[in-house]
Amino acid sequence: MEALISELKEEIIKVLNLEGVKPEDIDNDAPLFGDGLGLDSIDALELIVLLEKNYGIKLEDPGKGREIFGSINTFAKYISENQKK
Amino acid sequence: MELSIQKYCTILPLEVGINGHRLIDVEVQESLEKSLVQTYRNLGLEYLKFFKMDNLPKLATLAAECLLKDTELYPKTDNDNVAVVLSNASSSLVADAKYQQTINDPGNYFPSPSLFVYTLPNITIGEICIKHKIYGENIFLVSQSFNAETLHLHVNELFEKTNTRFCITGWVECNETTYEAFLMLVVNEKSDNIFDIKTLEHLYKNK
Amino acid sequence: MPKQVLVTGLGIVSGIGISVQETLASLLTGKSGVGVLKYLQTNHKDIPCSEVQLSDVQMRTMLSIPDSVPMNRTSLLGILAAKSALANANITPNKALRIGFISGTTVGGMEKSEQYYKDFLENDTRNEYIKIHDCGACTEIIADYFGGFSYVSTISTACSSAANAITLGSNLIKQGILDCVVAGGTECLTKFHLNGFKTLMILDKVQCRPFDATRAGLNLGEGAAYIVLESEESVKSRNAKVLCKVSGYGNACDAYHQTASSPDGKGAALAMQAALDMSGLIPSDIDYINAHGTGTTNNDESEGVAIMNVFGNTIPPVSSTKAFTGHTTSASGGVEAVISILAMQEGFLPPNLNFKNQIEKLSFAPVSKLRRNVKIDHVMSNSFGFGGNNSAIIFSKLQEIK
Repeated sequence: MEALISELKEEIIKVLNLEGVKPEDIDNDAPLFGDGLGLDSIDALELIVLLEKNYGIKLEDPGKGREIFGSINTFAKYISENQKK
Repeated sequence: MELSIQKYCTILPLEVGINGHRLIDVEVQESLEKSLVQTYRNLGLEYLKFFKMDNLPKLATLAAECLLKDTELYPKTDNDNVAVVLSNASSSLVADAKYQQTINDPGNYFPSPSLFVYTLPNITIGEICIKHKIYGENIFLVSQSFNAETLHLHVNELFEKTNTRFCITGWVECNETTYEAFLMLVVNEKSDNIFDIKTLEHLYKNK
Repeated sequence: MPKQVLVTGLGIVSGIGISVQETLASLLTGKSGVGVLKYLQTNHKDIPCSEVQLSDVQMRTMLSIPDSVPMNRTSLLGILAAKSALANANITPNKALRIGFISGTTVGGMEKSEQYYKDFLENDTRNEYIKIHDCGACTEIIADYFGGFSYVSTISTACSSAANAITLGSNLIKQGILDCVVAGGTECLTKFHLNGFKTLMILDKVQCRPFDATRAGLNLGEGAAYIVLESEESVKSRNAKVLCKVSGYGNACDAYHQTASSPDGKGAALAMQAALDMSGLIPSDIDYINAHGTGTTNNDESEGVAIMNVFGNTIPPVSSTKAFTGHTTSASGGVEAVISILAMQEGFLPPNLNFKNQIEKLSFAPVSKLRRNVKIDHVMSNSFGFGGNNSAIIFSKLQEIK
């Protein structure tokens, strides 16, 4: 799980162009959206693409994104439970 | 009605100028994107959303920042009387090509929403308006080269027929080999640079 | 007294018809153009779209354009629609008549570029298509087909492009710079934007349901439509038949998000109010609103709130015709201008197809069934583009202008 969390943080920073953010800056339980990292709806869609591209998980309902991308921990948990790649 | 150019900004890969004077230099970079980021840093800006944008909106955002800095943009009425009229030759082709890369290979096929969002030139106007809370009339014109006549016509009409009190207008061109921005703040009051076709052509040529 | 801008011709091709007559017939019989993709070569055949029922080969034949001339689908659609509009207005472009052509498009020659992308990189067999990729090049191809235009321009503001072309054309006539302008837009389907909209997750898997509480997205469409705008002097000098006038228009920025509309529809409301102000009309004068109404959860509620804020207790009948034509993106302002004018001329309210459940937040439901013999003196057409570029145009019957 540690390795996945670490990998996720790197990927999110890269894919979402989070300037000046380092993996150690991201708290595992902190909200990713809203005040957290300040991600918006387009970022959420990019994370859905990331899910499929890197982990083979297809998310048809964007509404579910809210729960899954709640924090790094919820994100990593979802991936480890549903990973296909 | 006496329209004039209260302020203008020019941005090229190696420099930024205000009203014909060099404001800052930018060191040579490996790529146009890096030049834009370096310009952002040299200007001392702080706007993290900048890093999510494609090159064209990056360029326009920088130009708008320089233009609007220390400018009293908002009169006491609603900010729906600030208009934006931008133009260029390449539309959003750089972003289009980047997005195309994500759907080119049938075996590695992942259309990117954050790239797709920038495959429209007027998103560039949107980004300026979002940052500066501008609700006025806005349009993006595409022509082979800088067209002073069309810009002049359009901006004139805005001031004459609508409640426009300020207009951000100019040329914001970004292609695979270079970029250039020539952005003006037009107002309905006298100042050194009259807003007419001759002045526009002169200022653009000598940027 | 400001110059009037009169409308003397209409031309349209879309998924519901390749002529004004066919379009009218489809609107009156509830025939939607949304269906399975036939012409666009894509793996996503499961995404319902509205295509113009003509192949490129058929269009070339109709227009006598030989195979040797590089052409893209956007330009072919545009030529067909512009030809129809000019014929309807009984005009042949020539330099003596100061006539302009203003066309809105976003994809331009993209449909050929994505087909020939590999060739562009690997060989020189398709290089002539590189030159006609640009939005501006497509507009010029259309203008050059006819010759005689003294002013040609392209507007590229996403889904408000064609509407903005009409307002620019109107401004040029009011300024006395041109006597006549063919204004509107054209867009063909491409894999580029089909995939783009899919990745934004705003496409419906079935026929769209604008303004319905259960709506789940839009259907993309393709098409082209132009209206012929003319000055009073020009109309008088050639004794032209006038269809209606452009009595007002407005444009404003929503300044909220790159692709989403604000919850209170501020930009939309400002645009509609500006159009009313220019026309000298009050909200209760408007007899029908042809809404932008894409069928996305975001747009329809936002636009609905904006309509409520502008029209208060006097909301006119509202419908979206995008379940007929699909969302024709850059052409939609032109397509819907033609539909709005047809509705006014023929006295009918086009139904908002597939509507069943009113959106909770809205105080109104759209027109869900065709209504005929309706007196429409003033019609408002809304077109909102990504980037928050919001436009509204009001067309009015000539004798009813205050």
